[in-house]
Amino acid sequence: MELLRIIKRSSLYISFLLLLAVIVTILQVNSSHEKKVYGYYNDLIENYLVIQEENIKTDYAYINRKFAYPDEDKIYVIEAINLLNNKMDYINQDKKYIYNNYKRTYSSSLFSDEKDYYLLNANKYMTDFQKIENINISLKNTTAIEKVIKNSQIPIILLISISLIIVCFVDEKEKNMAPLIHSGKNGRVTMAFRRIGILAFYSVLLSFIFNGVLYAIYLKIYGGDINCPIQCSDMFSMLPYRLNVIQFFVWYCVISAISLIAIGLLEYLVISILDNYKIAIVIMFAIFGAEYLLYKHITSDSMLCVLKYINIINVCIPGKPYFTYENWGFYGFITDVSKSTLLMTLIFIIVGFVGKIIYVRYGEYPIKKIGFVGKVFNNISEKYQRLFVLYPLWLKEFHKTICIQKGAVIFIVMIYLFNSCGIQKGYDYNEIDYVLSKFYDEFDGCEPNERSEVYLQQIEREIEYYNQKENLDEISKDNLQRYQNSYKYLKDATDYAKGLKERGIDSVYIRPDTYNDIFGKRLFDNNNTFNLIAIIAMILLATGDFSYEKNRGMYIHLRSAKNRKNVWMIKIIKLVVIAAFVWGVSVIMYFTNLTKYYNLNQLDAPIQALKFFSDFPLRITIRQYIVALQLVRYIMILAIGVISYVLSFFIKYKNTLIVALSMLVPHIMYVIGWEWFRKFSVVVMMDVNRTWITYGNSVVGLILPIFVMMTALISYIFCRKKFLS
Amino acid sequence: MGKLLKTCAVIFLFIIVFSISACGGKNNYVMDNEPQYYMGPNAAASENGYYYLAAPPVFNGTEGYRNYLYYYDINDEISVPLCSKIGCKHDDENCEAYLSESNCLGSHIWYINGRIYMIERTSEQDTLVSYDSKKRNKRTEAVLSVDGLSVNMNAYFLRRAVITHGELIYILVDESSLRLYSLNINTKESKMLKEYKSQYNIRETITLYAIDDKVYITYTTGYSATYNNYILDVYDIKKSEIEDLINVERDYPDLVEKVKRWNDETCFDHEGNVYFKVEDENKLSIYKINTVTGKMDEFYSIDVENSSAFDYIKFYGYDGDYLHLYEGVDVVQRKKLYKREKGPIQSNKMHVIALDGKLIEKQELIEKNQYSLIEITRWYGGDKGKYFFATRTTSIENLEFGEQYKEKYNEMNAKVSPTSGISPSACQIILYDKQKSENGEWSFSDITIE
Repeated sequence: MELLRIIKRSSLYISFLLLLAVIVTILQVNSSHEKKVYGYYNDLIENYLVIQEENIKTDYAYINRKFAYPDEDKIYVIEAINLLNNKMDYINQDKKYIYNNYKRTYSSSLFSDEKDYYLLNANKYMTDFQKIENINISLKNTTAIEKVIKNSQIPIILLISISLIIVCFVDEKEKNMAPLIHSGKNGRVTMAFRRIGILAFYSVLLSFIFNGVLYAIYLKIYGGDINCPIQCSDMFSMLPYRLNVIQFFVWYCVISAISLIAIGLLEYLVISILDNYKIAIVIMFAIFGAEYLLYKHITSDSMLCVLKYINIINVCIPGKPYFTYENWGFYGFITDVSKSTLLMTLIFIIVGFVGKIIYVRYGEYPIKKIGFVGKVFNNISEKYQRLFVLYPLWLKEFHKTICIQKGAVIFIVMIYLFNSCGIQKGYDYNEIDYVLSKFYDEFDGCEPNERSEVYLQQIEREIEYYNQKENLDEISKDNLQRYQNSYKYLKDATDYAKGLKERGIDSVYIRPDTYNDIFGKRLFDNNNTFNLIAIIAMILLATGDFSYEKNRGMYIHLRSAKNRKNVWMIKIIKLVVIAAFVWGVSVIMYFTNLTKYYNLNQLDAPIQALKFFSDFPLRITIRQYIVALQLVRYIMILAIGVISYVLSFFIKYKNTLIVALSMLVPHIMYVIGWEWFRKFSVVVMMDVNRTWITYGNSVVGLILPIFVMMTALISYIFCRKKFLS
Repeated sequence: MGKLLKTCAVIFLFIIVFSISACGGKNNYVMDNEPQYYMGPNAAASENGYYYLAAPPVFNGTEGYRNYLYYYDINDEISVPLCSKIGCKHDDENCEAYLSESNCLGSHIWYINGRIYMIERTSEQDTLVSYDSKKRNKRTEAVLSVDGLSVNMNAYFLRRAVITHGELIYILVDESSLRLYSLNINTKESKMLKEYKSQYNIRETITLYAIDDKVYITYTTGYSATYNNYILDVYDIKKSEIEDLINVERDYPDLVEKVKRWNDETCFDHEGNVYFKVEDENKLSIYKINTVTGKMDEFYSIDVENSSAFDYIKFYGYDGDYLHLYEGVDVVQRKKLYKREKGPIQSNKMHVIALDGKLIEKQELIEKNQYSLIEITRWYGGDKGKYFFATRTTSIENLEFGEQYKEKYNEMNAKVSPTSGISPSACQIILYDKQKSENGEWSFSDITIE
């Protein structure tokens, strides 16, 4: 029954995620280009004996003479030849360097201690190397399986799928059925066993389906041999098992399933222990985020490297840690990443499994006994309720979000995060040119005038004078070069300013350092972080409103009340105020941090005075531009808040949270490394300046913001109609 | 039971947070006091060898000069890359010995009491980091950025920071000045020593030279594209104060247009003398000024036939006993004279000069194909009668470049085409050992990794 319920509850989500995985995989690959390149690559591999007939360099001229491929396909053929040559370099490589490295390590007295990591690693490597030394490798296309292992978006989609299954496990809590179910004969330990069984079943099933579909797509695009030894691929050259590609793929699916079970069990335990979903989600996000930062920023030679290798990310994305060769350790200790990851996975499984069973057996009572603190709390709460009835309606609304739904905690966490993610470095003046610097000291904020012309002429005369001199030493040549570059830059800046004047725009010289940074790439990541925190806070604050009322049975009362228009207005005003608070705090903290390191000069100059805004369509000042950016940002935060809010009106709290947070999936993909997803990231979208820098006046950049705003507007209208009907 | 689990979870989180924060705590190891003035900024001497930064023996020059950290063991006479991976070819970014420009700012390294120090740049901070003697167990020692400013490090051959007597002396750069800072490595406290305001409109340059308990600050400031003034200050570590020593324009006006390479080819001895390069007509001289008495001497000189020869004479400074002046073959003149012919033998000479100005010996190195220049790409210095350097010239008489590297070079050369983006380059490491010379052996040896 439980399995059927879960299948019914999750089929739609999982089908959607599978579809998403397929679309993303196909879109990510430049299919037509890759097909052609790998078509030729496969062809060259098949005809390698013919290629080898003449023992000369395999380049385009030679291949073209041999096979007469069409000229229009030259770029594809060249790419295919490079792939072939790289593969042949691997196949034919002389392994002598391995023995050289080993000998060298033992020869230096720097590594004289037997427990030294270098020696431990050298010995371990040689032992592992001897296991695979005699495997016959040949020229085979193994691209598809390499791409599967490198792919880290499928493991993330699989994790999301498993998380959805786990969310389904605890439906009874939301429906207030938990006491009833947990007091049933099979409602606790047996139920937990069944659910763990379902989790394992789903993990295996989804792992094979998702990875199978992925591998099939890659095989279709890249082609490849599935019967050759896996060591034919450079990526798996040190894998100490004799497997062919298809056996290796099955093994990968099994490992992926085990990893899913481990993470799933851990999630299940955390969600069970923490009754409050919001707190569970925040904690999970925090743990995964912290682990990801440790994984990304700690290097293998760090004294904290244990935090990189004993890291949940290795379990979540098992391709690289399990199947590519890497050892880690320290004085007296060595292991490989695959073993430590497997151990960690097993520990997760044991902790998750045993923890859940123990918790269900001893901690998950249908009705919990209230302790002393609980009694005191209830007493205070009771007294407070007497006061609470006197509150006006609007205050009760805010009270509900801030106190009952723990919005205050979210605010505090949000403020802490804003405070800790600011920049710590200003402009790097290492490359500053002092000629430019001196010029801007005098003319920053001035229009081109006679004095600036005289200044430029002086530089010009000096350059001419020194150009005529002979025998300049290196430093003088370097300085002269700087003079020339600065002159060119200033001349361009002057011509640009004059050009603006002709367009009717009052233009001035602006010292470019600050604005190159704050409107440039330097702050993209920082802006993303601020926006991400604001969005998550807004989603968490907005999603619980209606679902809480539904849970408490107040929903029908509100919708049928006489002054429901008033209620609706108060709710919307509350949302607007909360969005304003989130936005306001972020703006204050952002600019406090920014102005600590940057001097925002010439704020009242036209924005077009900055060269990269030359085509900006509105005639506004830099100050107005900055204000406008922040206002648009507010509208975006509000729009995302409205969407989340409306979602909670129509669907259950958990589903609302899932759907609302799924807006962040493209951003997570982008952060992990898929640049392509940036176009769909609502977080990046909120950085309107970046959109302008990327797309300029093109409407492409407006599509996502307009889509989000329209969705918010339409859903608002629809929801209002429904609420008041 | 639920509460118990919650409590356990909270305690576990506290332990993690506490242990992570504890990792950033202070350490109290004793610092070696003496600065390694005899080593170049790209190298450091340890108890039994030298650490140095160099490119792989053969590399693709199109990708630029990439630094790898090597260790030369004096006893075993072997160089090793500091990479523990046995399956690594030590020529790409995955090698553990590889140090990117931001990992090792300005290619400066120091070795103090069993740890290797360098400055690292991240997107938000410049920090002093250290590794153990095998380039493992990295730890962050201190943040160097103050007020969001960056450390001034933009040329590998200029010594922009020094470690001496447990203090890191470094420079921060702002909009219009260079700020000299001192960081106590033990207490992590930093203080500004002096701000050098830009007086003119040419880029200012400061380099540092630490010897005994003094840090000499050589400062170049310009009036115009070709007219510079040269200033020398000294920071006394014990007194913790900066003293103005020399202003060449003020104190020695006749020299001001003749002083060359004030920032990278100037050195100091234990007696407070400064040695620097002066170019005049057909003569290159090393001048000596006693910073206490102000007395100036022409210390040593080489006559040159053509002004182009000045570019091939490098003053590599003081090793504790002698000064080194390298006189490379004037390639420009040689090409003019012999065009594509081989011409007569012409050697590259290292002048070893005693502190009284006497030439001790001229060590000769010959490029065997064209009798041409042996270009020293990096001077690492050295102690105890040794010095070593990197060169891209691999056809030096009596110093065979490894066969495997020759093969690799040729392989890479075969792939050169207008579109390949390949341009083979080499890096051979040559060591001079005075002891060998005294034993009658050939005193130069190739210490490139085997």
